[in-house]
Amino acid sequence: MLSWTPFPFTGAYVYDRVCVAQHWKRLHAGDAEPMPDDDAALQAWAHFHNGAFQSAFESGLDLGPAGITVANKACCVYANYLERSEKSRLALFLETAERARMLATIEPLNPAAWYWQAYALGRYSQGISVAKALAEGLGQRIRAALEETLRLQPLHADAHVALGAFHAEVIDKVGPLIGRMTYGARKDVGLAMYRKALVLNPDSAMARLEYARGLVMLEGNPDSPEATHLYEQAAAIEPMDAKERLDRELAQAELGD
Amino acid sequence: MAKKAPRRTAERILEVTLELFNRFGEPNVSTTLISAELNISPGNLYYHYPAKDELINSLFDRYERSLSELLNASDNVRDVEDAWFFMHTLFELIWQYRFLYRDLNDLLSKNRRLETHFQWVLKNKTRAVKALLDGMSRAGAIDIDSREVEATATSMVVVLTYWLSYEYVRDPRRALEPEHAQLALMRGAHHVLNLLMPYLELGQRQHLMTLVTAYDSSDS
Repeated sequence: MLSWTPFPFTGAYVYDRVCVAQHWKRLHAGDAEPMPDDDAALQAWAHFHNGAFQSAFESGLDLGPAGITVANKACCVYANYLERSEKSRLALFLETAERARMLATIEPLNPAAWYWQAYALGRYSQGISVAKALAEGLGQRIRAALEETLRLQPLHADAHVALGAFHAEVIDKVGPLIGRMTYGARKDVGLAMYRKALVLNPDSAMARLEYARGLVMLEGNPDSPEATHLYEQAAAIEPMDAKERLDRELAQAELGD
Repeated sequence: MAKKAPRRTAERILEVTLELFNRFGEPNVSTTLISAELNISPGNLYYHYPAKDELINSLFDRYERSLSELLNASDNVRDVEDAWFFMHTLFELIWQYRFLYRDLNDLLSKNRRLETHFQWVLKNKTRAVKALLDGMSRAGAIDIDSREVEATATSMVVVLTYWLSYEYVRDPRRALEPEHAQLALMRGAHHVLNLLMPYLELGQRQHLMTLVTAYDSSDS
């Protein structure tokens, strides 16, 4: 496999297995992932939190089903934040969606199997253009996978964010009327999802970034003071790991011009 | 809290993308190039525009809005001087979004919004040119048989739409660079209006020739 573009702040986070276990609750406040009990899986997660996304991905895959989720998360975070080529990025999302789908067939009660299917397909849809993705029927699949995630794990903050984004994207791309009739997308439900995510995970910069983006889509005002406020909050959150650092950088870039 | 300046990342991305598309052609500009040119991370670009199509759509929406506004002004054209000014302004707008015309067929084949909306652009241009002919006719600047209006308007729209492609083929390496804008636009406006020659009232015909000579002495 080609080597991935490295995380730009190498060395900023140096978790080991013990450290990851100690901070597990905070590090996984977004995905409510249960802490694995074997060392190899914890080590793969340590790679993830340190920003060694390729190592996290590869060691996750080596673990079989027990490592699929860390591999999927590493792959999606890498694709979304660091992969420069649009084509490779889309391929990484599709591969993740397929791995997650396979995992859901053997572990149908694992919320992460459903969530990473939805996340990867959602990002893929945005990447090929949401209108095209909806025409290909991906909308229903994404929505169903997110609802299944929340049925299995109602405290999954990130799935609330993704569902909020689903409502916002659909309304933004096909309009409120068709969005509601065809896909059940509603502005109030979308906004409530983002707010619920922030209740579940108040330290999330990512939830604020997505909420701000959703607000701009739904309200149509790129200079929305509410969105600016969310960026300011996101930029002020002290990141606990590599992924959170990338979120903070994004928020700061947004405020920095 | 102190009032902050509006956030401008999304706007900056669009401005730089338009410049790159215009210079190199949309098919030759990757999202990698855009984020490098802006010195932002790929994640930051994807956050605002997750697909290249979204950038194309946003730029096209802007073009369509400005075009619509401008075309409505064709009702007020009464003589050759007005028509010259109108065509020139129209060409300036097309120049600002020349990437759309440079690779039009390619864009139409891969982007659904352009595929449907560009037909509207052509219809709207034809409607505006007909309004221009009508206004000039009523003011006595041209004498045109109503049966010839449709074909003349269509010919004018074809020249208007494909003039930059013609310029591009004549000099692919330089035609679409900013320093060539002025002359290219002038030539375009001239050749669109030249289609009116047979119908222009004598004084108007002379006036058009004067305008062309004054502004366009290096036309080839």
